[in-house]
Amino acid sequence: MRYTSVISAMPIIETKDLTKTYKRYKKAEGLRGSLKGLIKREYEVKNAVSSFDLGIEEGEFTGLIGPNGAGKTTLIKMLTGIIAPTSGTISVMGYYPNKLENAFKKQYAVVMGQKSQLFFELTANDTLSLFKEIYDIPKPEFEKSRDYFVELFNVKDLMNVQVRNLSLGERMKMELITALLHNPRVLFLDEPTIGLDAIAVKQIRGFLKNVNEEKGTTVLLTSHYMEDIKQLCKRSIVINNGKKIFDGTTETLFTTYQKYKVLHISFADSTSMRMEDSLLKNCSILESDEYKVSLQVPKESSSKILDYLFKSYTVQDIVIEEEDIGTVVERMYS
Amino acid sequence: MKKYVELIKINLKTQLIWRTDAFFSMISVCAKMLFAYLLWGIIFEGKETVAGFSYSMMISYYVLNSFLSSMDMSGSISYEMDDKIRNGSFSKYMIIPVLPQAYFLCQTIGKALFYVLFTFTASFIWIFIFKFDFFITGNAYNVFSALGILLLGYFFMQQFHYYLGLLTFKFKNIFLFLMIKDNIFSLISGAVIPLVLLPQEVISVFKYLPFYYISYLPTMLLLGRNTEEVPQALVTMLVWVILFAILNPSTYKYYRTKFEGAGI
Repeated sequence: MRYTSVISAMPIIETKDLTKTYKRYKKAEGLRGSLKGLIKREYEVKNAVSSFDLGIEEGEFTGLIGPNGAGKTTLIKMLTGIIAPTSGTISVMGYYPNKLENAFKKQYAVVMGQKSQLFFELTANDTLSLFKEIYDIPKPEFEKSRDYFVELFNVKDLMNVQVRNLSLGERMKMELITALLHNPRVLFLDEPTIGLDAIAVKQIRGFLKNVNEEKGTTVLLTSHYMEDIKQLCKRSIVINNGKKIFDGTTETLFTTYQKYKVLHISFADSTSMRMEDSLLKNCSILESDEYKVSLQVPKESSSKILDYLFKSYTVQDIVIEEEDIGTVVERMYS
Repeated sequence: MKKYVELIKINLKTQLIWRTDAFFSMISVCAKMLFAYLLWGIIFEGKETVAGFSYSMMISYYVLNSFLSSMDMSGSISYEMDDKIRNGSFSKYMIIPVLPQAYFLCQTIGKALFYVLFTFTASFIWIFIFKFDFFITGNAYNVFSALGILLLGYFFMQQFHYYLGLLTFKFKNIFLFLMIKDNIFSLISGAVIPLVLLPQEVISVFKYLPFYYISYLPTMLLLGRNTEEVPQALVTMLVWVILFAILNPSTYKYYRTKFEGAGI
């Protein structure tokens, strides 16, 4: 069941000059400051989101990236109607989100990594039965939708297990099935892979990709993991201090701003690395001891460096990491 | 409507998971009755009546009042809302097409059904085993009036606790309000002592407040007393229920749009 009452040529998500300011109590230091605060309080205004313009077309898979406190979650909260904007305009599927109309809520879903809709004492099937009624899903559609997602995630055996007995990754899968049961037009995902192991992350990425491609669901994803963004989102928006600092293809973002990789190398024997080799001249050591070293290496020469390391040292293990979002954002700013 | 029935069901199912809780609910009911049996036995020693109550009536009062007042499970709503607004998980109620107040109402009913199931069974077994002379009126007017007032009372309490929970949006911490409410409620509802033991002037003031009608008056009605108070009780409760039916949605809308905390 997909609600199509409010469809037009305009973007499915649109904001103009969207701003959210918070008033924060500025407490003076010490006991004196605390006593003073009882009589008179000083406040400071913080712009969590500032003059934010956004347009997302139906069916897009967009990544929203930024360091902690950048304003990503505040933006998602405004788009889902959880909080009201201070100024600017906002439209999601033609609705003003903060009105919290049921017709609007039936057309989107939110999955926040650390907030659950599941009943921990009961099974995932119990929660699904509840959501069937909450979203008024006819029985045949409910069964079709449930079976589709259960098969996609291969979780048939887990549907009647108490949620509290499921692993973090299994819970997230159930969370996603619950959220997508009513076939929403827009899916907001806030850190869905946080704290999950590599296998669960891979499965969830595959699932999201499938939902976007097969069902045409518009997805707005925030994540700290570059790999999530890289593998799933064609478009990326980078936000810092509440302002948009990049909006373009994910490919452009990574080729332009992600210049380094981090190699964590473990040696079989006590080793001292020689950095004088010309290949390593643009690398820097982030951390080292006699058995391991962490190197920051230019992205374009990382495969040559790996080759060189294997030939020159008795390497026991290598872990390759993408640069974290904070570093990329910092580079974009500078 | 079906979604609310499903919400009640899921909350009842959640309660039924805890077998030890179910067992101790029954034990605590029996313990309460035993306590009343012993306590009032001492007070009534050598006396036929106390404040117009016979021994069996007093025990019946105690059992009924404690049962009816325990049936109100709405107290946890304020604490839960306070916790959820501050830790940021209240948003889960805002994003689904269900009114948060209705969600909490269904949660309360689910819990109450669990309580009724086990407490009623425990009370029945206890009365049967001890062949206790349990008194309840045969006057249908009293019984139906008591049920009507009880339902309005429970609904009001749910509205009231939801309202207190909403204050978290404004005050961040509502424990002081809850403490004051708990103390006033214990006194006015007759949960501490039968209200007939208090001066008449005090009781006449209490009668304009809803708490008097939550369990005390229904208990008295079921004991065949205070029949003349039914009209005032129904009018008073209706006025309070309507007042909060207007107050709650507007308060929710006003505070949630003004809320600036990091939560929800």
